[in-house]
Amino acid sequence: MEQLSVRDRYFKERYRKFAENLQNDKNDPLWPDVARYIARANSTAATQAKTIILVQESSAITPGAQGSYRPEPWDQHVLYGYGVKPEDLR
Amino acid sequence: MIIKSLTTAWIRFFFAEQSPTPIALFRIAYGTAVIATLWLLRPDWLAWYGRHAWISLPTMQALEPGRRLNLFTVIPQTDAWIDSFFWVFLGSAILLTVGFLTRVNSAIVFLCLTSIQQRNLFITHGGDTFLRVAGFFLIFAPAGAAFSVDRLIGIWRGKEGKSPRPRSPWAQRMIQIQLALLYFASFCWKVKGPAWLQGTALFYIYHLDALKRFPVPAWLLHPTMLKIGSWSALALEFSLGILIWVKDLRYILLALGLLFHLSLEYSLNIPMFQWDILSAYILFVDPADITRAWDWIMRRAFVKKARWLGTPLRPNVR
Repeated sequence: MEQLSVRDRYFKERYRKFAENLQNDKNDPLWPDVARYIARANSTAATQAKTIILVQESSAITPGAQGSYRPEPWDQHVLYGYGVKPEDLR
Repeated sequence: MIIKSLTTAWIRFFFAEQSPTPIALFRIAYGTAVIATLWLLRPDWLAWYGRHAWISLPTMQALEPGRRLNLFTVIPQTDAWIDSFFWVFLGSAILLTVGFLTRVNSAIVFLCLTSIQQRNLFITHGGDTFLRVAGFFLIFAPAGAAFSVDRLIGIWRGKEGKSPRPRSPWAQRMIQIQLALLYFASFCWKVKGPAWLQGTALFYIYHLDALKRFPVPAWLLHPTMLKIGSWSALALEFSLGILIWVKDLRYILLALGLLFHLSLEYSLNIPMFQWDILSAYILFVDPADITRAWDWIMRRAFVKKARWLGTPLRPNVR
């Protein structure tokens, strides 16, 4: 989202909401569908996706002294791995 | 005695006939909000709701079992049908906004709105839910009784008088109660966590890069200002939930609420949420005040037009 223009952010905000919900473990039944969608979007007749890995990136927001703020480093955490089947791409 | 006066107050509140202008203006704002929501979704209609959407229909049904008001379960799951569904939805929202076949179109809009939310609950926000609930009550409201094509047709056929006939406002009251509940529930939810009570909540919100919109002056992000902001938001949500029913406080609270939502619209990227909520503010405005405002606008427009045409104003025109 941070890389989009102000206009595009307004149109695409539902993707941020969706990604926020995906990171909730209780919504893990959604992950295979999402992996299949990404596989379809990134496959052509010549090159087909074989594995999809959903990675969660996070950075803590911590108030500093006097309420100052300095961004914390980003962490990565593998949420889910999916082996793409030929029928997923149809 | 007390029961009798309570019953009388209840009947007066829900059923004493009043001008339908607030609900008609709400219909226009509501329809516009639905059209804008659909327009913002337009590039992703099929990505969210199509045959090969991010979440398949069977997955959604497994996650939310039971009977649901969801037209996607009955229409064929082809992209052409799903695209057509959205064009019908959009067309109906436009007709609702202009007030043509108002009741039929409000029912269609409610059905379609409920369907897209049931089809993918993971991309909806509180504003969407408010539109859905308000849409249900709008079906039963005299929303086409003023500022509408339906009324023009009625006048043309000789069935409508010079000004709209007063109607029972019970459906309007239900939407008002829904809005007040939304604020009060939001207040209750916030006071459960320490961040809002300690006044640190806005610090986290305004440092979420993904939610930022336009730049906020640095002095507003000072911890003291953020604390004041957090507590003010709590106080305002409580007031808009409870004190909005006190007539003397109503317009002050509506003005503060308007400023509150406009500041959020400027600073945070939560598309349509503020407008969805603000659309219902008109329901709290006294119909007599709407008439006065309308007359004032008309007078101003007449004076401007007369000046533009160089016509002297007649003495009886104020």
